[in-house]
Amino acid sequence: MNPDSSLSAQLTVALKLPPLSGLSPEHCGRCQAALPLFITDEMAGLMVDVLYPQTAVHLDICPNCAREYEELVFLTRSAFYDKDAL
Amino acid sequence: MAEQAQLDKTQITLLVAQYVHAQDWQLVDAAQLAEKIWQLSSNEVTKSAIETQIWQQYAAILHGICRQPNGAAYQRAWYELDSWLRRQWRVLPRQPQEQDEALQETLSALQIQLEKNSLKAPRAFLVYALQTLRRTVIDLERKKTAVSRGGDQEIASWEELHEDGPDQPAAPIQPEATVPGAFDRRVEHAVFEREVRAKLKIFFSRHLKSDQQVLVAELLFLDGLHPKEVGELLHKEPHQIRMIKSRIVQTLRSLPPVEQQELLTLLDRANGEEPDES
Repeated sequence: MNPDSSLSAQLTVALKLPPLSGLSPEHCGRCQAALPLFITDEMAGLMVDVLYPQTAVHLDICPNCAREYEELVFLTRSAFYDKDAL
Repeated sequence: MAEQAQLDKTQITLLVAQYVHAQDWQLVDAAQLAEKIWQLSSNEVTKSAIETQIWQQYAAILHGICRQPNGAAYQRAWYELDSWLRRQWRVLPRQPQEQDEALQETLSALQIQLEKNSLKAPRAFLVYALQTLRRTVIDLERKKTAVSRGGDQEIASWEELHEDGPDQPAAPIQPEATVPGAFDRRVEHAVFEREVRAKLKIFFSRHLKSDQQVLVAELLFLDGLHPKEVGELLHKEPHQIRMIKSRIVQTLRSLPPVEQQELLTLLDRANGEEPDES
C-alpha cells in the first residue's frame, strides 16, 4: 500500500495480541521502563515507532501505560518548554 | 514547540545562554555547549529543536558528573538535580504535603541507581528523574491511603533503559523492478491498492468514533505517516496524535471478532500478504 507500511503492520500486531487480561505485568514493566528514552527521542523528532516498535504497540493497547506516557510527556514539556518555568 | 523560524549560529548561542541561565545550569560553559549544538545541528535549526538539544545534552553531562563522587562538580550536580526536580513539583498531577520527603526519596533512588550502573542512554536522564519523582509521589500517596494499585508502579529498572530497545532493523528499500511487464503489474497493483484503501476508509468511517479519529487512522494506517508527521499536518504535537492512535487501536480491538477479522484481512491485503485464516 505504501513504501512505509510499518504502522499498518503494527496495527495488525495490536489486533492479534490477547486482551489486556492475557498480558503479563512484565509487558507493562518493560514498556514503562522504556518510556523515558521513548519520550526523549520522540521529542528529538526521531521516528520512535520504528526505533521502539514494541513500546509503541504496547502504548496502543494498554490504557494504564498510555496514561503514564501522557503524564510523563506533560511533565517533560512543562520542564523543558514551558516559558513560565524557564 | 511550533516555531519554524530557522536560527543562525549567533541566535543559537544566545538561545543556549538564555536557556541554561533560566534553568540555573552551571555545569557547562554555555558558549561551548552552543558550539557543540551548532556542530550537531543539521537542516532543522528551529528554536524548539535547539531547546531539545540543550536539555538532552545537559542531561548527559549531569548524568556523567552525578556518577563521579570524587569529581569537583559532584556536589553542584546533585544540588542542580535537587533544585530542578523541586521546580517541577508545581506541575505534578498529585501534590502530597511531603514535598521534602518525596524529593529526598527520589534523589536517593537515583543515587542508588547511578552507583550501581550508568544509564545506557544518558540523554534520557532527566526524563528518567521525572518518572522517578512521579512514581515516588504515587507511592507516598499509596502508602498514605493504603490502597493497593497492583504491580505496575515499580521503579523502572535502570538496565531496561536500552539505547536500542527491542527493535528490529527497518527493511531495506527495494529497488524498483525494471523487468518487462513491470509497468502493467504496477498499474494492476495501483488499482488493487486503491480498492483496498477505499474499503479500509469505509471500515474506519463505520467503526471509529469521530471524524478526527477517522482522519488520523487514514493518515497513520493508509498513508503510512508517523505520529510526528501527522502532528505536523494537523498542527498537533506527536504525543497528542499518539493518544488518538491509542484510542483508535483500543476501539478496533474491542470490535466483535467478525469485524476484527474483516479488518485483519484488509490489512493483510494492504500489506501485500496472504489473508490470515486463523
